[in-house]
Amino acid sequence: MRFIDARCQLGRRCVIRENEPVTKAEILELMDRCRIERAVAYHAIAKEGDVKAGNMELLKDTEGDSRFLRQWVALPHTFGEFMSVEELLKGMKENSVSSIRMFPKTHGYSLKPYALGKFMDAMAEHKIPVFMTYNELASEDALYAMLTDYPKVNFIISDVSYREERKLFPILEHCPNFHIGTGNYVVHGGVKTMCEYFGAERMIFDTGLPTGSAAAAVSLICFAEISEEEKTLIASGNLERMLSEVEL
Amino acid sequence: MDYTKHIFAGAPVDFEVIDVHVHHGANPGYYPGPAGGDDIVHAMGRLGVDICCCTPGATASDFDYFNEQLAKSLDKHPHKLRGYVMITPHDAADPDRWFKRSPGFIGLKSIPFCQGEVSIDDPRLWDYYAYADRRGLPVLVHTWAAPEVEATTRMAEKYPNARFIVAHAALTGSAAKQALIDGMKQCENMACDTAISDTYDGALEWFVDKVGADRVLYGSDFITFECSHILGRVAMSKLTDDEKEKIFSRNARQWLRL
Repeated sequence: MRFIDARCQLGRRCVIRENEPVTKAEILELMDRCRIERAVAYHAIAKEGDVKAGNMELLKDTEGDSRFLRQWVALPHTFGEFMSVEELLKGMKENSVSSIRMFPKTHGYSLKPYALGKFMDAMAEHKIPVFMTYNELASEDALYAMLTDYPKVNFIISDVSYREERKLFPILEHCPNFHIGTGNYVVHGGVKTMCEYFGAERMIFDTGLPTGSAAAAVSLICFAEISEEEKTLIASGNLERMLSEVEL
Repeated sequence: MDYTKHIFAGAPVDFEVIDVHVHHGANPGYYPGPAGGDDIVHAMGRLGVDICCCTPGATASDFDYFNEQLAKSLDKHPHKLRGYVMITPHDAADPDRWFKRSPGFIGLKSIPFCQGEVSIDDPRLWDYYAYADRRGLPVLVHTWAAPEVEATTRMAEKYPNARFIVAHAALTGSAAKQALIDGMKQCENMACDTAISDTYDGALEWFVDKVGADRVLYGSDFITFECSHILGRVAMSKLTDDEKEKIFSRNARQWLRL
């Protein structure tokens, strides 16, 4: 089974715990040990420091490296502090960037259409998937609002803990554009239940490397009580299909 | 030995696994998935886990009810399941009757923080720890932050024949880890488990490097959450085969006298 990780961060970050991987070489060693073929990667500086500079660092750090699929972090175009939608799309095309990650809580902006309508319209038109961790959203209601405000955008929401199932189940029922990153989705039997109720197409394998555990994420899928076809979709198929549909 | 080959295949592992931290029964706070004794045994077969040591219910409520529910599962699966008797600071019940009720009970579970934020070293729990001390029983203690680990250390010093298994703290925050390292160096009757929902690769290796592998026990916290990810995290770690064997089963056999 091929694993492609949909959530990996490159670059030195603010907080580094005891013996936690930091360098690209350490991340690659873990990917090899856990048999992860490639990873969608954004840069720590784009999250924790300067978004535009971080996106440029990502290009340098992944230059000529086929193990990483480039992902840019986006901001609203407030007073021109970030690229316009047109500039963003052009930059993505020129630099083989195929997805977007957003940090609305960390970066302090609204996801509502009055603030991000034009940006999300472009994501929908160009079929660019938008990634976020669950803790970047204020609540399950904020998640539901975002998914229904932008029904044509494919969202991958990751780092969903085992305590959220009752909140997320009804949202999954109502919002087909809601996909779950499996990294910390450690609900007992959760992967199997998701497949039974909503289909394997709604889950995307991710690890959260280097602050998440690649070994744990891989094991969760390997041991899930689902078919090999479903495992393949989750491990790599769904993400590859989504990224192949991007039109830039 | 290749500890990972069966994991990548999603097949039951071919080495012995004793899980010292499993929950039997529903948790009211969130959807736990199927949570009875049969469900636990089914999951054990899927992963290749040999023995699960279970606590009754999640944290609270009627302990007689949950101890009895677990006792019924111990009766039904005597070769697969063992149990901890749940204790509470709010009821001075005699744990002895549960050990008489089922030979599958092997120790006590202390989780007073979730029973009204009571401290682990609250005097209302001393009779229970004294009981474990007299009989040399294991006490699985729920901890998270440093003060809870420090309280457990005080109890381990006070009751040196009881064997305290500190849950979670080996893989939580830096202060808790340091408190646990200090406690385990101070008290030979303190061990810890591997249970945590979310941590990073390298955390377990760091902890074992500090305290050795002899008192680190495999625990998954199943069915609070899925168990397969922790099995893989230990199996795919950079620990040596000898360290993995100790953590997966040898330490538990010794510590729990299985």
